[in-house]
Order: sequence, then structure tokens, then C-alpha cells
Amino acid sequence: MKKILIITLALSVVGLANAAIQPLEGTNVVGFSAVPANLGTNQIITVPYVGCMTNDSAIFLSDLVSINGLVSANGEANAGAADQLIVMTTNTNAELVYYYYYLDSGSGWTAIGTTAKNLNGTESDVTPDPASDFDVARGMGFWLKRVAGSTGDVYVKGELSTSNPSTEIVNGLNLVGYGTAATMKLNSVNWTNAVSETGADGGNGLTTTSDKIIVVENDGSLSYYYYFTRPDTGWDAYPAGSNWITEDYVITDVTIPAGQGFWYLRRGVDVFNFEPDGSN
Amino acid sequence: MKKSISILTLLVLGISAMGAEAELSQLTLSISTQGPDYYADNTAVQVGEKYLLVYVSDGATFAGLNSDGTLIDTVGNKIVTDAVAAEGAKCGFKAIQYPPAMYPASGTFIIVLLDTRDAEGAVGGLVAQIGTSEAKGAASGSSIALNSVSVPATKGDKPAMVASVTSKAPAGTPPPVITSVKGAGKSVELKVGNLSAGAVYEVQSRTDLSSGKWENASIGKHLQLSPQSVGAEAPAILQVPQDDKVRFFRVVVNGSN
Repeated sequence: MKKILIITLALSVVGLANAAIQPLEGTNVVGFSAVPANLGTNQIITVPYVGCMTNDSAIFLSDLVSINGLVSANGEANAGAADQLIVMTTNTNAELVYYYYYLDSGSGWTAIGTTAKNLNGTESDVTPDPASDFDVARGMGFWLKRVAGSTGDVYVKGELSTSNPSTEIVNGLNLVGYGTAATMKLNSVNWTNAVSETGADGGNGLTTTSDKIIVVENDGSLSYYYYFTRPDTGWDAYPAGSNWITEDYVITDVTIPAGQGFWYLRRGVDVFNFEPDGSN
Repeated sequence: MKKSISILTLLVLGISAMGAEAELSQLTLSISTQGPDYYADNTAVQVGEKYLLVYVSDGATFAGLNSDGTLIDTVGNKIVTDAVAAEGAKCGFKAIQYPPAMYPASGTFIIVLLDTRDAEGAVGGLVAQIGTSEAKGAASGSSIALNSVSVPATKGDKPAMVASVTSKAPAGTPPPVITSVKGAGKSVELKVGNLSAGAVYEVQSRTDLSSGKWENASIGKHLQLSPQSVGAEAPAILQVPQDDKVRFFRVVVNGSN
């Protein structure tokens, strides 16, 4: 009888103690995002996350793409039979270079040396940095090239950033994405720059002069969207301005999954920062 | 050294606006074959065998190779790069990048498989035969696709890549002569003279001159002068059936006109 009382008392004390303790929350949130990537397609993916415990720094390429469900091969000579990541970047001479990585059966994402051919007939080696030492900024796009062998999504992973994404878009072709873990509705995000207010450029209302977004669909086909700013006069029959439209001038609100990248053809001259969630 | 990239530096010099559209200053192209690829004698391509990526200009066709590996059409065809065969009798993965003006979009790329087996059956000799892939159109500077020439294992119910087209012998190659023959039973040794460097030869045999046809006497071996050859003569050692009673030999020049 005495024993039962002691046990009951002890349990009561533990209960009181539990009620008083607040949960200790972690300081960061990590996650995965599935990106559709069908076989035989060259999917453009982007970086929605930052490196774990890096204080919002860029993430290493080797840490970004989960290898679950991907196809690997043994050795560089067999890289054609493996899934690959291809990054378009600049070297120390500010020249455009392509870095190839394949999924090695033993070593994970592994760099492939390539050859650059020059108009004067010379050649030079292109040696990518190791995937484990190569970091990519949020909002940057690159290719995931899939080979035959499996189907389904791929996963990008990392730590959720606490700051709003900001991606610089320059004149010409930009391989970019929405640098968050959320899906992006093309016409539901902010396309103007809070600082310079240049933003997406609608040209003179014509699709041939306005900024253009090119989305690579899951079947490899391309979809084109144009930023429309309606001129003041003579365009009453057209849709409201400051919207993304199709070639037929129909407002579209395409949803781009988190982690999926796209091409942004900047026809406007000014550089602008794509800050869909507002500036920091 | 860790290299950091960001959109800030990306593409500023790499991409230039050309009129209404933008062009990439560099394009990339990768090549590979799924394999297995084959020689004309139906044996699988050996590890280390050579492949070429050839650009064929608009209006030209791929005219083939000389036995020394040079192009027959040096104006309309250009060798872009080479690659070697990996385990599995396939072209090992190779990627390049180039300025779009170097290989205009009006032309095409093809992968060419070489048969470089020498008299010992080892790869690295002269080019005896070649096989080609289907042509793939070159990309323009405004292309945003990730370009590749990749060859599947089969085309219909046959292997997609077979080196079955004979290379061309150098102009003026003289006819070879058999200067001696010795041995009998399972092995016969010929000495073949009047050989020309850069030409590939086949030793052929038959057992009846009035019926049947000449057939290559040794599979996967192509007689050619080697650095060890003495003068313009080289030995050809052939295996023949033990119970052979009669057999005739001749030597022909591969790819002669």
C-alpha cells in the first residue's frame, strides 16, 4: 500500500514537470521537394534551398540533388548510362563553360572532364570542381539529364532559407528558378524589383520585344510565356497589363513546381533582381 | 579551392544579345553509344577502339575515311573530337563545348566507329572499316536544348553501330605479292611483300578455285606494316583446319579503287 502511494506520487511529480517544460524547437528547417523528371528528358531544376547549417549560404551541388531513384553507372566512361547534372557557369576568365557531373555507383555525383574547342583550332580542357566543393546559389537553374532505366520524381533537398530569394536577371538568356520550396504561379508573384523597379520588361506590347519565359515540359516540349505591359492607347481589346501571356495574348497562370527551373530571356536592357516575395 | 558561382557572374560575357533573340556564346554536345557495337565480322568492339565525332557541312555527305584515319572529304567533313570504346563494346561518354559559329546549325553531326585492329588483332592500327550513326542536326546559338548524339543498341532488329564500310587505301598503293609460304597442318605462314605504309590488307583463302569464293582467312586481323616490319614485307600467320588437303591464299588491298 505504501509502495503504491509512492509510485503515484512520483508519477504526479513527473506529470507536473512535463507540463512545465516547453518544447525545445530546432533552429532550422530542412526538407525535400519533388521535381518531375521523366526519362530521356533534360529537366531544368533549380535551387530552392540553402546548405544545412551554413547561415543561408549556397548549397554544394553534391548535397542538393538526392540520388534516390536515380540511375548510376560505374566509371566516367559509362557516364552516358547514368543520370547527369550539367551546370552552365563561368570560369575564372568569365568565359561560359559547361560542367558535367554523372552519378557514379560508388562515389555519387562525380565531375567529368570535357573539351572546349576554339575557333582558332585550339582545344583546352574543362575540369569542373568536385561536386562536393562546388556551391550553387538559390534561384540558379541547371540541367538534370535522365537516361532510360526508371521513372518518377527527383528530389532536391537542403535547408529552408529564412530570407527572400533574389536572383539577378541580365540581358540575354538566364537559366533560373524560383528559389523557394513553394510552387510558383507565374502571375501570382511579384515581377517588379522593389529597389530599381525595372522588373520584367513588357517591351512595346509585342511578344517579340517583351521578356520571355521558356518552360521545358515533362515531355521535353517547350512552352513560351511573354510579359505583357499594355500600351496606353490602341490596346483596349487586349488583356490587362503586367501579366504573363501566351503567344495568343491570353493571360496564363502556369504553375511551376518548387525546384523546377526555367529559361528567362531578358530583352530589357537593365539588369533586375527577380524578388518574387519582395526584397529582404 | 572552392569555387562559388552565382547568378551575378553568370552569363554576363557568356551570352550576347543578337537582335531580338539572344545567343549562347558556347554550346555543348555529348556523345555516347549504348552498345554493344560490332565489327563487320560480328565480334564486339574491343575496349580502347576509336570513335570519331564528325561534322558534316550543309550540302555535303560523309565521304568516309582513308585507312590512315584522315577524312576523304576535308572540306565538307570535319573531325570534331574522338572517343574510345569502354567495357560493353560502346563509345565511352565524351562531352565538348564550342562556339556556335564553329559548327553551324545547317550541318549535322555523326558518330563514326573505326575498326583499327592490326595484324595481331589489337586496336590502334590503321583504319580497316568504319560504321556511322544517324546524323543529328547541329544546334544554333539560340538553342536552349542540351544537345547530344547518343546511339541506341539496335536499329530495328540489328545492331545500330557496325563497322562494315571499308576505308579507302592511299592513292597509288601497289598490288601486294606473296613472297613465300611455309608450314602446313594447323598453321601456315605467308610472307607478303610490296606492302605500302598506310594501306590495310586482307589475307583471303579458299579450298577450291573453281567453286566457292574467297573469304578472309583470319577474323579480326588486318595485315599492315608495323614499326617492326622489315622493309615493305610482313608475315601473316594463319590458322587452317587440321585436315586441310588443299588451300589457296591471296592478299587484297582494303578499299582500293
